[in-house]
Amino acid sequence: MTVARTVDIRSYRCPMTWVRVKLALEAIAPGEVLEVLLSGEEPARNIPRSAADEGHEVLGSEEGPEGMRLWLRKGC
Amino acid sequence: MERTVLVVGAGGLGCAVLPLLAAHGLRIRVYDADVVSLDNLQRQLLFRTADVGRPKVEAAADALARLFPGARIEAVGERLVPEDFPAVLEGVDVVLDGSDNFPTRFLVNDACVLAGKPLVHGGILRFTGQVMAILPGQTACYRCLFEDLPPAGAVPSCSEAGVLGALCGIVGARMVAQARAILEGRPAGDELWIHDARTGRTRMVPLSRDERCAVCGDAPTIVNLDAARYVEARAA
Amino acid sequence: MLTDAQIERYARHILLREVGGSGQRRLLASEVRLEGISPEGAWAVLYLALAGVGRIVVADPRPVPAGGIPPLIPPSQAGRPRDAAAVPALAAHNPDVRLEVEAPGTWSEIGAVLRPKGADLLLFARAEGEASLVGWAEAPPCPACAPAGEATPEAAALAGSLAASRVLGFFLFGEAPAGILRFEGGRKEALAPCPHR
Repeated sequence: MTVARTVDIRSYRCPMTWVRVKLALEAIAPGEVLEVLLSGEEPARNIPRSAADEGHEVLGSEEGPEGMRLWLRKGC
Repeated sequence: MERTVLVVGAGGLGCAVLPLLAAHGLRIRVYDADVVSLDNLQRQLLFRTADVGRPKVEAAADALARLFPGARIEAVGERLVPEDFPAVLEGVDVVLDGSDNFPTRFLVNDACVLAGKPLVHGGILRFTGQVMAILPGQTACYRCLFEDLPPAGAVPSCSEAGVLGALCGIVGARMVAQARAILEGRPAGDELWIHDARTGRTRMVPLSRDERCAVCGDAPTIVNLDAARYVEARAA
Repeated sequence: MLTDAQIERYARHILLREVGGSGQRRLLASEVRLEGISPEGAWAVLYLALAGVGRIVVADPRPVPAGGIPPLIPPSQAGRPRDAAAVPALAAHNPDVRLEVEAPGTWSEIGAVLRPKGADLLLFARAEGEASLVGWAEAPPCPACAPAGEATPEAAALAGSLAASRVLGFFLFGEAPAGILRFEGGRKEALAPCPHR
């Protein structure tokens, strides 16, 4: 899986977390993959949900020492 | 006779109703515990860039004092809690609720019903606004329509926090028109006004008091303001 | 590209599915001219400035009345030309907007006229008594069509706020359907065509 772009939202709080992910998704083409670096329970819950709500595919996530990595495939 | 209004919330809707209420020479008591943040400025029209970081009620009171010298504004920088009632309603002729969270909406509704105070509720979400006037015991109240706080997980995620700024003025204007109708003894209540700023459509949905409503029905089970009832459900 | 401050300021627009960062950039590149800083015009131009419309030209050389023009111009500015007074008031709310006074220019004696750049029609807004008139037209309804009756503050607020939402809708979605609507008592109806022309 190639990542078209990475966005780090660990320093932001809701709703700026989703705003930043949204802007990053706008910058890639449909079908491309965005990698999101996030930390905390609230974005871990809300980002996948908001992404799915707006027609993007949540490919998966992985917990790491610096936070969570989440992969989204941009919908049409 | 001097009339007093209680305004709950000095955010998007609060900022729209406050200058209109002041223009009518009403005494105003306004509650909001928040400070002005940069993302408020897109729609909270009383606040200037220099107000970021200040308590909203202070910035709002200053703006009102500039626009309406001599306006009587009581600005309270606190969140309304059950213990504030019924004292906060003393001398109040009508309540305008522009709060942005369900616990406060239900608290204000229940408190107004229990105290018999007329209330105008306003809400905004994305491009849609709604207003309903409530005459406790006579017309539908907020609980007649919405029953109870949403369960955990049903609450809008932050992706649904988007809102068109000008909608605040549209909804606020309607709220004040309803408040004035109440103050002047003209018909109000039993209708939910809905405006879609995206399509321009306006609808009036007829309502009626639910006889089984938990707070304003014929056999109410809510007879006091138990704080446990007004807590936002947390997702698991 | 949006700056960090703009991303935060316009976050609630960007969050709207129909707007996003691209919609906000479009607003920042948009221009509108306001003729008539009446109460309706004040509400309209204030919401347009808050929304980040990039360039706003105001035209109204009449003096600010004794009571100011809430919610935009305070009474302390009484006597000053309305357009000149509007500029610092708007700038204080949003530094992103380029504000210009166009004088002598035309202005609307009754209500307000908004001319978004790129629109074929103008947007008209006026409050009369408890009613609010708003809509796209080739020309404002003539003064003979306006019944006498001072507008309530909330009717002016509704007219101006509807006008702002219409202008934003034009910039974002390209929509400008012709026809003036009359809002009163929570209901709306189409305004009868002006019989005086």
